[in-house]
Formats: sequence, structure tokens, C-alpha cells
Amino acid sequence: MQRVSNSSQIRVALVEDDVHFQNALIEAIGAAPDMTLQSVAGTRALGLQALDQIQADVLLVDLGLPDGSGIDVIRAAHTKWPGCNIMVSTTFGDELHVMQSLEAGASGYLLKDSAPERMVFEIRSLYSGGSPISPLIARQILMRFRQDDKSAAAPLEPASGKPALSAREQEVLEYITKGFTSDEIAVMMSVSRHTVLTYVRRIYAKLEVNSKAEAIFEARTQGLLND
Amino acid sequence: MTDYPASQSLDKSNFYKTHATLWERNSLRDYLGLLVLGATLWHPQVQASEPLHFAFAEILSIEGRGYSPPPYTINAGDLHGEWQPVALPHALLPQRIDAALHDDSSSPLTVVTWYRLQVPKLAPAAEPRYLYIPRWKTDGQIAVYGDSRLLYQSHASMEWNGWNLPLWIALDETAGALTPRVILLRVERPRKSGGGISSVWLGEENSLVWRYRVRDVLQVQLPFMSSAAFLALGLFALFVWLRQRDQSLYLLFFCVSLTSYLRSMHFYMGAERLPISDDWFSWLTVNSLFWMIATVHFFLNYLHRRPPVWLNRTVSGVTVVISIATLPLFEALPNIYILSALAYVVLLTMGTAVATVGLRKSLQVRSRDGIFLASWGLLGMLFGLYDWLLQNNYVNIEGSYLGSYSNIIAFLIFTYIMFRRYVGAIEDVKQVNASLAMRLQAREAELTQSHERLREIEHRQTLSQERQRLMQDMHDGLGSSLTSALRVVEHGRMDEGEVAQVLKGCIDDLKLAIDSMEPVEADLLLLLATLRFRLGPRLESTGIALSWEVKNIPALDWLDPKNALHILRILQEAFTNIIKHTQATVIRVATHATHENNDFVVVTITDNGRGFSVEDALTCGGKGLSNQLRRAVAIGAEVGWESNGHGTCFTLRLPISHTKLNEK
Repeated sequence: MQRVSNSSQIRVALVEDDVHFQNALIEAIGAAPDMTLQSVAGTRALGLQALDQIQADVLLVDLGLPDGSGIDVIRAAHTKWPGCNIMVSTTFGDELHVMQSLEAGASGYLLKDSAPERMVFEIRSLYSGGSPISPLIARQILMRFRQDDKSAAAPLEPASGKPALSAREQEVLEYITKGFTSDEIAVMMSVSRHTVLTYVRRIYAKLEVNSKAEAIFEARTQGLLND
Repeated sequence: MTDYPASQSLDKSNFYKTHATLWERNSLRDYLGLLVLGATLWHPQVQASEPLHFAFAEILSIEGRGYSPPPYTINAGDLHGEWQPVALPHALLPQRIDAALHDDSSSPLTVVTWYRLQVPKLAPAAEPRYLYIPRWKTDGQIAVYGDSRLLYQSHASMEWNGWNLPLWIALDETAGALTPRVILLRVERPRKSGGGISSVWLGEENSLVWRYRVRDVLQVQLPFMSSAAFLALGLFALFVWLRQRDQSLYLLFFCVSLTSYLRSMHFYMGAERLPISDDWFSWLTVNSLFWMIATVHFFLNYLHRRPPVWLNRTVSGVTVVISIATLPLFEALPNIYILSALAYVVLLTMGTAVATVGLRKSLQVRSRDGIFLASWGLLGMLFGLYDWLLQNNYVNIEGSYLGSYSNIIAFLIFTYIMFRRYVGAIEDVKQVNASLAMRLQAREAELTQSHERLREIEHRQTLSQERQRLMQDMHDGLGSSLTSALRVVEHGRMDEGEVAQVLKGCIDDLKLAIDSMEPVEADLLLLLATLRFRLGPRLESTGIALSWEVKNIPALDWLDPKNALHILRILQEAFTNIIKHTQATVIRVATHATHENNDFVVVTITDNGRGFSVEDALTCGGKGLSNQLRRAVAIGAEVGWESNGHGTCFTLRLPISHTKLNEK
């Protein structure tokens, strides 16, 4: 991790066309002593351009940009800024938006109606390796990996490059679908809350790898790629 | 060798006269044969390779009683009587029997007729010579002598003695033997029946044997083989019929083939003694013709499908009566062989009637097979007529019976008909299969189409239901909250904080509505988890602690998006009530399954607030509780409140199985 040395400040980059949310965030970050806003982009093009600058610690991306999808920015950032924590900003945190962002390489999301303190909290939590998760997303991920289990007889299949969930990760997801918070889960599993959140982060990473492997598999079966 | 004056006495004019007579009646073959004989007479020292053809003979008849075995040797000179010159072929007509003479079966009135043939002196030949008699006929016995020595005798029975088999008799069988100069034929027969012989050939094998072979094949082998082949096909048809009992045509075909086979035995059996008595053999072979015609009649009926009742009865009646009457069981009645000439007249009449009626009906219905078969039947009757004339010596006895050929042609016609039926049936099956496949395909396409249409309708219905559900939800929740907030803000009676609260509530409403669209797969806990996820931050902000005590519960199969939203709204309302009115500090959410009365899943939300009067709240309170009640009824659930000064316990009871929901 090449964190810029001048301080322990969390550098945040923002790609967001909604001026009100921009302002709310600028305000919140301004109020937070440990954060600085590195850049603000209002379009997809500007957002991609911003990736040429020095790597930010947290990138906050809106999906519905005027000139295209924020997914492209997430993908580009995932390769250009490998150490960056990407976060999607969403109104509802609904499964459709969140899942495709996670698959593109995001590791968290931020609800736009969150209170300013909550926003700062979420950014901090993401920066420190934790990821938020909703019961519906947890359920979706469980089902995604369960399907993979069914399609392949072998418990682990290194050949396909698809990672499987560990027992602990699966346990976390199952607790989440039952409505338990990360604090409660931490108690039940006798780990720290932070550990629970890093489990989630790992799960998201596996989901991303998984979806990439799936895409390659798809392309291969359709003859778009050879070997 | 000078005791054969007759041969010397045949002068030229006599020859030509006879020749002219023969020319009128005989075939070209005979005429040519006669020329050969003429040549031999003019040039006694003929070339050895040319066969001799005897168109003349001398006969002498001696009457007697009973059959007598032929003597081993006989000299023409020993026979007393006057030899008469006759032309060959020669027919012996039945004699009228004087009523005074008693004719009994033990010693019938018989007559022995001797034919004498003078053979010119032939040079010794390297090859043996043969005597060839194409046809002969007697109801007794024939014996052949060469220079007074017995060469051949028919040794089967009197009636079935192989009269349809051409004779091929070797003459020179001993070393250095000379060809006989005189051939004697002894024909013994009852006086009341006819007989006769054809012209006679004598020659070396290589020049003569083809005549014998051709005749043997046409007259004996062909009827034998064809009738056997016919029977084989008939057996095939029989097996078809045994499997397909409704196809009686196949049975009829078998019957025709069987009767035809029986009849054809006439033409090739008799050289050896028969395994059954003459009487039974006669009964079988003569009656088989009746059976055959009866079967053909029913076969024709089948083809034109207009059976004439009167003819059915007549044919059946005549056939049965004749078959029974001629059974050789009754001693008093003469056997069928004797009556055959009469029987054949009846048969010809019946056959002609069958063929004519069959032809007419077939023409009416344009049955090609029927017309074909009936026409041949008529023609066959002409053949039959000819055979009858031949049998009774009214036509040249050297001819062959045509009945066997008529059978062969009939066999081909029948086979052709059956072949067409058979192939037709196969074609039909193929077509039926093809059309079946096509219909199946059409049905499949139809089914797919209707299935698709159904799915489309279903899809449209789902969409419309979903739309209605969301509309209702927006109208009751978000819409009404926003409008009432708008009214209050317009009148300036709401500060910013309150407006924010209203808007936050609206956003929560929206989030829950969106969550309700995700499939929860019958998982109530997931639904509760979602609720907590959405409302958690708000509870947190109010400082109320949430105690999450859910336990695993059975799946609720009826949990579709619509029902899910109702549950979410009921529970949301419960939380809202607690936050707004009770000043509670702790909320406890628990689930359990109960099996009292019915199977239920129970969700309880307990708070430690100040409580409220349930009755008052229901009668004059806000819309909150009544909304919860209404929604609970809509999903077949029950809601309940227990409240006192130390808190409130709200209960939601959800039936586990959908059927119970329907009953409500």
C-alpha cells in the first residue's frame, strides 16, 4: 500500500452528478478531520479522466451518470487503482445495482439518504477493510455460490478459477440473512466486529473473481476467446 | 417279316385322303409330323436321326367280361378278327350297352382294343430307340408290345392310371436287339366308357426326347409346380388371416389355393398306385372344382361387396348336395368318376353363373380386381368346356387339358389381387403414419402456441397485479404521507425537522416497497432481516435498543411479493407506533412456530413503553391499527395487541400452509 505519506488522511474521490449529494458529501468530508476530498467528477468521462491522477483511498461512484454507466468507472478504477476501495452510491441499495457494482470490483455501497455522520462512518469502515452488506445481497451471494456448487461436483475447482466460500464466510452470510447485525454476529462467532466486516470484504472479492471467471467461461464457450 | 399286309396295302391315294382329313382337324405340328411319316413311307431306308410319326394304325376290338391281365407275349397273328385301318389320334367312343346284358361291378362288360403299328425296317442305330405316346386314355389298362413281347403296362388302378402322363418307352434294351417291326398297343376298358390314343412316335433319343420333355413339362410338371406354389402362397395368406381375423379375403385366398391344389392332382398323379382309394380320390378331385368355384364366388363377393343372396344359396346348396351325394359311402350310387361327365355339366353351368354375376356386379361397382377375375372365370369356363369335350372324346384326344393352365392364370390373378391388397395395406399404414406424424406436429405446434399465449397472458396478469399492488401501496402510503405533509407545510405548521422526518418515512416506505419486489423464497426471516436493515438506522437515531431474538421457522410457501409487502407494512406500522407513541427504550423482536389449533408462525414485537388502550386505539385512533388489521385479513393472518402500563406486545400470526390461507 503506497499511502501518501504527508498524513494519515483518507483521500476520497467522487464521481457523482447529483449536486445536492455532492454538496452533502463535500460538507460531511469537510467536517471529518481524517478525510480529504481529492477530486469531484460530474460525468463518466471526467470520472475516467480522474483515474489518471494519483490513486485515491476511497472512490465513490454513482451508477446513473449523464454520459454513461458508473460501472465503467468502477471497472477502470479496479485495474488502474488496485489499492483503492471502491464504493457505489445508491438511493435504495437495491440488489440489482449493488450486485453488478460488486461484480465490477466495488467493495461497498453508500445509501444516499444516509446521515452525514453515517456517510463518514461508512467511508472509514470501508477504508479500514470492512464492507457493508444487506440481507437481500447476502442471500443473493449465497445463492450464487450455491449454484456454482451444484454445477460442479468437486468442492473446490481450481481449474475453473472459481473460488468457493469458506465455512465461516458462509456462516456470516447466513446470519445476515436472518437479520443479525455485524456486532451480534461478532459476538455469536466470537470474533471482532471488524473481522466480520473483513469476511464480507473477502466475500465481495470472491464474487468479483467469480463473475470474471464466469465471463471468461462464457466467452470461451461462445468461441470469443481461445484458451 | 412279311405278315403285315396292311402296311403294304396303304397305297398313295389312301394316304393322301387320310392326310387331307387330318389336315382339316390337326395342328401344324401334326401336319409336319405327317410329312415325316410320308417321307418314311416313300423311303423305307430313312436316316436314323429322323423319328417316325405314326398317324395310322390298325385296330381290332375284342369284347369280354371283367378285366384280364395282358399276356406276356402276343402275336398279332394270334388275334382273331378283322383289323381295321384308322387314323391316329384315335378316340374310342363309349358303347351303348344292350339292356339284356347284365353289367355288374364284379365282372363289368369290357372291351380290349388292339392297335397295330407297322414299323419300317430301320438300320441298327448306335443309340437306343424310344416309343413316345403323347397321350392315351382308358378307364382300364394299357399295355405296349414290341414284336410280340410286353414292353410296358400301366400298373396303377383302372381309373387313375396316369392317363395324363405321356409315355416314353425304351425299345432296344438288350445288346444287339433290333428295333421291333410291329408295335401292339392293348387298351382295355369298360364298354360304357371311352378311350383312345394319340398319334405315336418312334425314334432316337436326341431327335425325339424334346417332344416328350416339352409335353411332360407343360402337361404334368407345370400344373404340379404351380399348384404347389399356389398352395404355399395360400398358406402365407392363412397365417396372415390367423393374425388378422377380420381380413377374410386372406382365408378365401387360402381356400382357393387349397381347392386348386386338390384339383391339380388330377393332372400329375396316377403313375403309381394312389395312397387312397380310387373312389375317394375321385370324390376329392372332382368335388374340389365345386369347392373352388364356390370359393371364387365368395371371393368375388368380397371384391364387389354386393353379394347376391340367391346365388350364395344356390352355389352353397349345389356344392353341399353334390359333395354329400357323391361321397363314396353309399354303395347304391355310382361313384363320382362314373358321374363326372354329368357333374362337370352342372359345374360348368354353376361356374358360368358365378362368373357372369360376378362380372356384372364388379362392373357396377367398377371393381377392377373383380372384373379381371370374373372375366377370367368366364374364359376359364370355355377352357372347362374344352376339357369336358376332351374328356368325352369329342375333340382330338391328342390335345392337353387346359384346366391346369386356367388354374395357373387364375393363380397369377389371385396373387396379383392379394399383392395389390397387401402393398395397398402397407401404403395405407405408411400414409396413416405420415399423417399421424403431421397431425402430431400440428398439435405440438398448437400446444406450444397456446402455451406461449397462456404464458403471455400470465405474464401480463402478473404485471398488472404488480402494478395494482404498487399503485395501492403508493396511494395508501407514500402518496398520502406526501400529500398530508404538503398540506401541513403549506400552512406553515411544520418545521424543517418535522418535514425531514416525514420525508425519511417516505423514503423508508419506498425502500420497503422495492425490497418487497426481491424474491424472498418463502423465507420470513429474510423479510424480517430486510425490515431491520431498513428501519435499523432510524431506531438507532431514536436511541431505542433492538433485541433481535429470531429463531428458525418453517418456510411460508405463499410468501409472494404482494404478501411480503403486506407483512412488511404491518410490522413497519408496529415499529412506527412504538417510536411515535410509547416512549419505549427497548424493542424485542422474536419469532416462533406454534402447532396449537393450526400450524402458525408467530412474530412478536414487544416494547417496554407506556402502553395504550387497544379498544380506544381501534375505535377512535388513527388509521394505523386498522390498516394492520386490514392487511392481516388480506393475507389470512391474525394480529393482536396486549398492552398495559409496562409495555405492549404485538403479535402477528401467519399460517404456514397456503390452503389455510385460502380457507379464511
